[in-house]
Amino acid sequence: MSHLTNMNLRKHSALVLFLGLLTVTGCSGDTSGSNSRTGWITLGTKEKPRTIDPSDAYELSSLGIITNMGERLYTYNPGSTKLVPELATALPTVSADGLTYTIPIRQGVTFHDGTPFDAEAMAFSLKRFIVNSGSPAFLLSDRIDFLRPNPDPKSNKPPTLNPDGLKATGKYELTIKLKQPFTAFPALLAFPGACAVSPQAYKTATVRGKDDKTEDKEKFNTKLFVGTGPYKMLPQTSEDRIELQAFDKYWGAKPANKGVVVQIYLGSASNLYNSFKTGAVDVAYLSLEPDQIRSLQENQKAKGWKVTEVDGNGTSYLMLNVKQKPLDNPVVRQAIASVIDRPLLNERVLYGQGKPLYSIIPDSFSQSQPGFKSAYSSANGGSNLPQAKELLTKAGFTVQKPAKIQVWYRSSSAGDKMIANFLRAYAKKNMGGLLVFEPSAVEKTAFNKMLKTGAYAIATQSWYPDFIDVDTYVQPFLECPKPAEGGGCKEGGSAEQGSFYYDAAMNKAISDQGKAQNPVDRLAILTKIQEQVVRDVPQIPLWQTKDFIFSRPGVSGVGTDPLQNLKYSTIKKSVVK
Amino acid sequence: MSRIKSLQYYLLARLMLAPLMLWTIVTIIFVLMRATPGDPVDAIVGSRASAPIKDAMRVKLGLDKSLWEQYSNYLGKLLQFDLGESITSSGVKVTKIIADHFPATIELAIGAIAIAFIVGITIGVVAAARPGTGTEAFGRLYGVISYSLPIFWVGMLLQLVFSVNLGWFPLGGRFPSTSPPPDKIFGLYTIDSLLHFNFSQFFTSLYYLFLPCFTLGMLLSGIFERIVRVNLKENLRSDYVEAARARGIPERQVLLVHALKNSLIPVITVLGLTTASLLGGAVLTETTFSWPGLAGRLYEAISARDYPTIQGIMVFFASIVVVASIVIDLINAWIDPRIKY
Repeated sequence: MSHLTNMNLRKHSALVLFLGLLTVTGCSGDTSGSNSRTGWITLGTKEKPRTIDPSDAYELSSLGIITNMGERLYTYNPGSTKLVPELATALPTVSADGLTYTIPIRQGVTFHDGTPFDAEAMAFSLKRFIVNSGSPAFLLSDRIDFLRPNPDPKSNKPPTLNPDGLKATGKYELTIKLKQPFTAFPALLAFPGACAVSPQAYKTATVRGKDDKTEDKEKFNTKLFVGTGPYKMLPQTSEDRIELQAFDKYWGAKPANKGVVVQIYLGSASNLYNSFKTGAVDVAYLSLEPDQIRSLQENQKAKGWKVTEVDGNGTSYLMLNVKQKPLDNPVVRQAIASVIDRPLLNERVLYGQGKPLYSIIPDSFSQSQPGFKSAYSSANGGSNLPQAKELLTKAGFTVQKPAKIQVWYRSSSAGDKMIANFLRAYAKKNMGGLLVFEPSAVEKTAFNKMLKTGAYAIATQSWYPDFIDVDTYVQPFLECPKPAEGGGCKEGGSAEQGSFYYDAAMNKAISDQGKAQNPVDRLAILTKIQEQVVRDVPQIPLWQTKDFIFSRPGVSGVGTDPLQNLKYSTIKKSVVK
Repeated sequence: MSRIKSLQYYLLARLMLAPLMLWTIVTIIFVLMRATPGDPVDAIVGSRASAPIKDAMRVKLGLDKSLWEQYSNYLGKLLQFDLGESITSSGVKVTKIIADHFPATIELAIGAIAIAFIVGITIGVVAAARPGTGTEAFGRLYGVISYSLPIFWVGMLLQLVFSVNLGWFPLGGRFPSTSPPPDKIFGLYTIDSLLHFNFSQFFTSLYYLFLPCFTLGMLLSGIFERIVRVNLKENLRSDYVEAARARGIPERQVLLVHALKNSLIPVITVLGLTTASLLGGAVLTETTFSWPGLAGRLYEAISARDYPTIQGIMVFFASIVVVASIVIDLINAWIDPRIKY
């Protein structure tokens, strides 16, 4: 008996020792966020980058990392939408016809692998971006006259290359020719994926178009990045983290930290939220839910956390299918625009974390004109219910025969679900039975596919700009080069977005604003476009985003660029006693 | 026919049936994935890409071909053990995705099974040893509740209590972001750190493993508890146990040495069946704890309609279940001479 007791004691002691060791390990700082690599920052996110190859990256999660390791010809200073040179030394010289851009290139820059940077390397990077035909390739291939599609689509011949369209015209001079004049072209060169990559470390597809047999694994480098930026990437050791170390041969100002570990909480906002609260990460960004943001905001003073609030350029809106009854009647669309109470919507859905939007263009652009406010809102920016009722009655709807309209949203988006449910409840309470919204959810990928088939009457949508210019809020939504026979759009931006809006004058205006070199002329055209959208209502803007970045005590220098990418090099961590 | 001979025939039959089972699974997955709406091309190039880019991508991925052609191409490649390339992670082989992510899942699974065994068998034995008491009632209740609780809910609750409030364990992840993980040998952090004689890394790995393993282990422990309790109670009433008691063998020895040994045979059988539950539970556990394993990667691939990755991982998981079930049958036959095939 005594032997057994001793054995039990030994077993129990071993167990206690084991648990003790676990706890000691735990308390030794592994969840505290105190980095064993002094001077490093741990950044928490829930968005896992699909790739870090700039010629294929198109998501915020990927571009946010690339933008800190790579450099483009032009960039933005934090808090500003003004273009400034990065790998260029000045803004481009534009030819009189608006087609040829000549760009002076920076000297004394070195890639992370030691390869020197020059105009040839920049040309290689931009050519690779276009020819590899990755997700964002169209941004440059649609504009630069480099990759020419075969004029006869039935001939099955691959596209041809126009060497004069994109070439180094000197050791430190790059010349680019466009297919059509496009005023916002320099802004496209600030797209994070249009960065310089080492010609020694990357390959390009050999044959283009439908005949492209180049294996993706040959032309895309999904795991390692070799650019010129302030950080170089360390080989990935784990699937849930990416490590960036300050690049000692960086030409510009040295980063305020020695490196950044991007810790990915694989799609879990709650894990990101709690990791920040417990101190496992220094900075939390992308993306917390509105209630989590509110909770962190409420506790910031007590806990010493810092909340950095930045006006974003993302927008949220309703897309109205102008081909589907009863939305084929513009009066009904105008009635719906009159029902929207943006301040209340912002309060209920976003806890006030957005900014009511009354134009298709965010108010961070000087060209934005809040036409939806004057046409469809009350004095305080809320709904105009008498007008909504009057318009619906004019369209022939009664309490006995109300307008019933489905509102579709992605089932994975809690915010979109709240918008749809808010609209239903608001119309039920305030429209006296004249208007009934019917929310319907559908899975994300199915939603994207069905949207362009015209299946949805109203669809909730969000938009993040590819580049900082008003064109990105206009052309992708309203342009329709191929109208349908029975009216509406057959093929084009508006069909892709689900409104199927077509207007020849609108197409011309979009084209004209893209070419207009004179800002005053451009403003006049954009004013007309916004007025027409207010009148025809193919879409209803709801709000523009705000970004929230949370940092632990002692962390400073946190900010984003206008494309919502967090700038790592300015983040600094001091020891908090 | 001798026992060895019959076992060999059985093994042969099972091995011949395995490809048929896998083919059935592969076909069901292939059809289901394409029957559900959603376009993988959109997931890759984005809805803003121009029509020629989308068309080129569709051709490249073979999605312009008929379903039958896609199916026969896929089966042809599968026969050569080529699982294809991920659609969304451009150019990355599915076999590489499996190789990169599976060690995390296997480490989680082994830990969970270990916890399930220890907890399940302990509660089962204690409950069976005290029939008709509150302890047995607790055992019954535990068996039902632990198996029926939603795993993500339990996981979140444990995170809230032990990570957020008490701060005893990390919320998620596999290793602290503040230090580099063990240099890769097998990809199993615990084993790799031991092979490098780095005990600090070993305990850190265990520390990060504990909560996810405990969550998944709890789910499975109910199954083991129930099997052990029911069988142990039956064995404790059997003649050979009575004979042992009559010989004056202490009750504890009767329980733990004689009766428990026989009660564990069905546990081994159930172990094979729980492989599927284990992998299914791993999907939820990995998602809850941001664990960078294969099951979580499967979840991502499903969201993005990444057909080759989904099919590849599912075939891999199905193969594991098939192989595990054969191995368990063989072990059963080996340890229990009464089993005939």
